[in-house]
Amino acid sequence: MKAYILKRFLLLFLTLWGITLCSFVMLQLAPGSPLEMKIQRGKDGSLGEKSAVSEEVIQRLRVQYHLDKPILVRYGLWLKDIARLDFGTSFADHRPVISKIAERVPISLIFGISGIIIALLLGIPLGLLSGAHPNTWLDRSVAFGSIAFYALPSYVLGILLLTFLGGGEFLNLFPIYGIQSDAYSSLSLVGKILDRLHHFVLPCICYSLGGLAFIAQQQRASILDALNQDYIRTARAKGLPEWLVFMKHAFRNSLIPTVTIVGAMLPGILGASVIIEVLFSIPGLGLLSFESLLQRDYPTIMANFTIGSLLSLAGIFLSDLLYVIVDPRISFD
Amino acid sequence: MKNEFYALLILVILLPLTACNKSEKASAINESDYSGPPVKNDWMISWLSANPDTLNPVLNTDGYATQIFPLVFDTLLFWDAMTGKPTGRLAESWKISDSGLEYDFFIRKNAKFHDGSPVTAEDVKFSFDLIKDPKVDAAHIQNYFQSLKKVEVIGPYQVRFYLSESYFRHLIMLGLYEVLPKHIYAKGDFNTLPQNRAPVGSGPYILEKWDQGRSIELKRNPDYWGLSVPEWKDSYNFERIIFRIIMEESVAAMALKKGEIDILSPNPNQYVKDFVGPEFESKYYRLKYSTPDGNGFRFIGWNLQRKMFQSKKVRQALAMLLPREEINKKMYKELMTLSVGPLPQGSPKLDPSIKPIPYDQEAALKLLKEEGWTDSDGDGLLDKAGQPFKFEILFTAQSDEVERIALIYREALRRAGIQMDLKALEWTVFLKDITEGNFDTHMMAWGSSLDSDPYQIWHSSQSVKGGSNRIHYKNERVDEILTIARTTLDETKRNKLYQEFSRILAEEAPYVFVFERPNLLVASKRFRGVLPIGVLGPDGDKFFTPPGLELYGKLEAQ
Repeated sequence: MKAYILKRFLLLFLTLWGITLCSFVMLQLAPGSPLEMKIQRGKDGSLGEKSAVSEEVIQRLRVQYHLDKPILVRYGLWLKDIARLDFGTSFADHRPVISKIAERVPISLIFGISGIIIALLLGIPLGLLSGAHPNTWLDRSVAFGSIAFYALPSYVLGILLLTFLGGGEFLNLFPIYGIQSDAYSSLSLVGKILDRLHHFVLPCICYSLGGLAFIAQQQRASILDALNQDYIRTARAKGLPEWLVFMKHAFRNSLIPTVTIVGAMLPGILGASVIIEVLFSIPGLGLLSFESLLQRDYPTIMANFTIGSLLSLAGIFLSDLLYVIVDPRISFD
Repeated sequence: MKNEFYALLILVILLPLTACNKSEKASAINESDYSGPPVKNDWMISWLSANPDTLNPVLNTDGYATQIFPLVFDTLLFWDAMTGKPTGRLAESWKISDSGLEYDFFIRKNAKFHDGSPVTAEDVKFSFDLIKDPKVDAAHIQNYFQSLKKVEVIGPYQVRFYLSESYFRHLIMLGLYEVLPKHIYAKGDFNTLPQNRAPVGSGPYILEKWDQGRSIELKRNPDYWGLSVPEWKDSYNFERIIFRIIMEESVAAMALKKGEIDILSPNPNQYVKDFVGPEFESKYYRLKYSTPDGNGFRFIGWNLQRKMFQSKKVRQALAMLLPREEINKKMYKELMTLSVGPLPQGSPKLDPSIKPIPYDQEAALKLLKEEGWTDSDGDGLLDKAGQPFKFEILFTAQSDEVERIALIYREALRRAGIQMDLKALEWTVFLKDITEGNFDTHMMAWGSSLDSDPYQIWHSSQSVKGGSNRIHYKNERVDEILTIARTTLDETKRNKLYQEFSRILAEEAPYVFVFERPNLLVASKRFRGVLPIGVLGPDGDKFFTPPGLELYGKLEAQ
């Protein structure tokens, strides 16, 4: 087991290195440069009077930002900094990339984790429910609902929620932007929690519905699969009550595929949904990476890439380990 | 289809619930004028569509903070919104030498920064010297201030600027540049100062809080030195000015309708779609106003290095084939004004006899025929010397507004036998392509500024890489006019030159001037002082709430 973990750990770093090299090179080969963009971009899709730049200025900036060196040399420099956990400073506002990311991580984390938890808490029972009554009216409505919500782009869902539940022209139940109200700092602790929760409702629905539908369908398929196994027949034959058969034998085994999915969902915790963040004006990590891509802010993009890939790899690693815990038949020795 | 179905489904479910929402409190707005003193404790809530990179006016390039700078910082001068004339702000008076190469500004002795220290000539010199400092990340204004040779402190309250040439916009450039306190901003690396996120200026408002990505809150500077100037006594009437950052336009529109935003400058689409109806207009001012230099214009620019666009008649024909009236009706409910040149109709710099080019396929085909473009092989496409008439238009994928115009244009061209392919690009890629001359034609918009100078876009010297004459327009008379106009400080004479320039442009049609971008404003009717609109638009500094209508101050008093 230990040897396996060690091997996986080394592989993880090798893979990470490969990913960063590829993304670094691809990023720099993409058309457009952060310098021209910085100088000439207009706020509202128009160019302004001060937008002209001379070639010398651009050339000087290129040297200043080390963009005059060959790609691989730049990658080497970047790698050297990363080894010391230095993600550099942002081209956009000269702040250390790490602090830009750090101020956004908690926000994304809260939404991402609560999204997954809600999806699990509702998705697994829903899947079990329809799996326990296959091909009934109940099963079909759950299937219809999940497929519909899975197919519905979160943007459309978000706009619908905003318009009908928060817009004021229909219902005015929820705030439509941000994560806290203006008077937040003057509220009591309970008031603060309630205020945050109030703001979380709509975005959380958006965050969790896609995953919820996915988990419900996955759980339904795996419980049906488990129920058809021989050991279930054995369990029933020895006279166990149905609920015990279901919960003790079928349920536990059916969780294995779901656990893998959760592993795959982990990287999504941090900023998987730019669209939801834009829609609800939540300054999260997804938004940061989107903005920095548009600005060709290389240090920020690379930091995001690296952290994102690290999380993905860790997620896969973690779900592999979880296998052992939920399924004693699997072992890495 | 599916989405529509769900929208409908939710609508059906929710419709009965909405009935109870109608009994909202009647709005307390009456239109009668109020002439007493303004209430000073209300707040004004405004909208920002993105989080600015920085609140340092020298470093900011994204333009999102431009509404905030004049509130936190002072400039030497300002242009009075009512009269449109330059007026002293930090400068009590100013003097321009006969040669037009030296500008002296005399700074008010009572002007103070937020920390109480006086504003002196040293601070002014420091602020302008930043532009030339190679360590300061200000490339975006270095080119703009190229003619500024030297700044000299003559006395503690007198500063002199030396310029390398005489230019009519120098007063604007020097006068509208923010003055930073030297003793604060000269400490450490300018690019990474903590003050870039917590600015210190001398203006009427102080930054209270910048909640990253959420809001920027300004609080009135109770010791603002400017309040001792009689003309500004009734200005700055809001206790707080809050800028809410909402990235999604439609959500900002909802927030305004819910009363959570008081004022915003909508885009034309929002203005005609979201902000309409008698109920809306009973609560909000809905203003479209004109200014001498307008708010910029949308255009289609032909790459004049491509052979097919080098003929004037072809360009005129292509302009006639853009059905602007139809677009205006379909997309904007006739809100837009058809553009006739780089400046809005009615501008003194524009020859008033120039009329918009109407859509006219017949006349266009006649012109094209004169130039040898006919459908000789019967394939439905015009051709000349075996070459079919086909080209590509580049635009940014940012808004579907541009794409819709391009689609309508494509259809109109197709009817005339011309093939135009659309290519939507991301901003960065688009900029790269048009900068390198890698396009047939492109559609975008120019912003405008106070007393704008067309030199940068139309002078042939600007058709180098990085310059703004990206279509490579070259006309000797235009070059001559633009060069003379720059050094002509007499406005009447200059306008005359620009009128001739506008006639040449109208004749040569190097751009299809599509629409003038209108100045639009939506603001709560609880405010007074919004009307009448001045020469440069409403004067935001003078907005106020009459007693009894304030929304926020009361909360605080409790």
